Amino acid sequence: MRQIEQDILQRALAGDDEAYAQVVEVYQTPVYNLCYRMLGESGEAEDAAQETFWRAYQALNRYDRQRPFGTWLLSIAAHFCIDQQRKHRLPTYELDEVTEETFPDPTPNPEKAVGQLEQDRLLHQLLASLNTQDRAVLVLRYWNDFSEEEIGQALSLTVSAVKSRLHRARLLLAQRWQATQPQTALERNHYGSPAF
Amino acid sequence: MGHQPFEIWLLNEQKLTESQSQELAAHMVTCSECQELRRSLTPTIVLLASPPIAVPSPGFTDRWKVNLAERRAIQHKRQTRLFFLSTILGAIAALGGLITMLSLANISVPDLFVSGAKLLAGLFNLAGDVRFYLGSSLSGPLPVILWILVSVGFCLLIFAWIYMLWRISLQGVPRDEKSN
Repeated sequence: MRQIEQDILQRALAGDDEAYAQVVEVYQTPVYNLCYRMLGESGEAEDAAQETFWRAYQALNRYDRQRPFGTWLLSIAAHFCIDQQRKHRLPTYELDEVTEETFPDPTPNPEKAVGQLEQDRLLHQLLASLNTQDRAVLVLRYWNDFSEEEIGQALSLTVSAVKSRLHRARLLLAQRWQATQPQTALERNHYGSPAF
Repeated sequence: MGHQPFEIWLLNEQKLTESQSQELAAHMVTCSECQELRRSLTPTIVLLASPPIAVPSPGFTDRWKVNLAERRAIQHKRQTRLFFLSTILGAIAALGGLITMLSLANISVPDLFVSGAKLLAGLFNLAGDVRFYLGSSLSGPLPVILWILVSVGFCLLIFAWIYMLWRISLQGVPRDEKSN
C-alpha cells in the first residue's frame, strides 16, 4: 500500500480539504478494493469507499498519529463493510458483476484478461462463502499484507482470534475450492476432520 | 486416524521445524484426507498470494469532492433546523418557566398586565428624563441628523447580529480558515 507523504497528511489533519483530496487519491484503491472484496458489488463498494473517506474526514481529530494512517483508514472501511453486511444479513455478491473495468490491465492481452476475470470470479465465489469477519481478516491479510497484530488492531480482535479466524478461513476456502473441482467432488465426501 | 497437529501445520503459514517437516511428510504418506486437504489448499494459497486488485472507476477523487460538498450542505441544513428548533424550544421553555414562576408567586394575568404597563410607563419616563438631561446639557435641541445617525447605527447593529446568527447557523464554524 502506498504511503502518504507526511506533510500532506499533516495539512489534511489541520483541515486542508485539498490535502485531504490528495489523501483520497492515494488511498482510493486499497479502500475501494477492501470494500469490493467485502461487499462483492462495484456500486456498493464505491458508496462504501466514499462513506469511509467521509467518516475518516469527520474523525480526523480523533486519529492517533502513532498509528499508520492506512491501517486506521482500512479499519474504518472494514468496520463499515461488516456493519453493512450485518444489516443486509445476506451476502450481496453478484458474480456477474466482475468486469474488465474493475481490473484494468495496462497490457492488452485478451487471454490474460480472460484468465484474470476467471481467477477473480473464483475468488469472489470463495470469499462469498465465508462469514463477514473471516472475510475481513482474509482480505486484510492477503490484499493489504497486514500482520496478525495489525488485523487485530483494525478489527478489534485479539491476535489469537485472528489466528483462529485465518485458520478457519483457509480451511473453508480449501473445502470450497474442492467443491468447485468436478473430478474431486466425490472424494470430498470422504474428508472429515475430527478437529471441526 | 488423528489429523492433528498435521492439519494445523498445513493450514498455518508459519515455517515448520526440520523435525515437524519430517513428521508431516511421514503422515502425508499414509493419510489420504490430509493429502486431499493439501491438494485443495495449495491452489487457494497460490490464488491468494497474488490476488487481483479492484480499482474504482476513474474520477473517484472528483466524485469525493462533489460528495463532500453535498454532505456539507446537508449538514448545514440540519444545523440550521436544529438551531431554529432549539431556539423555539428554548423560547417555549422560558415561557413555560415564566408562567410557572408567576403561578407559584400567585400573580394573576391582569396583575401582570398592570405591572407591564407600569414598567413601560417607567421606561418612557426614563427616556424623557434622558432627553431632558441631554437637551439641558447640550446647547439647543439635538439636530435631526444626529437622531438619524443613531437610529441607523442601531439598525446596523441589529442587522449585524442577525447576520452573525444566520452565518453560524447556516455555515457553521469552519474547521480551518485556510480551507475555506
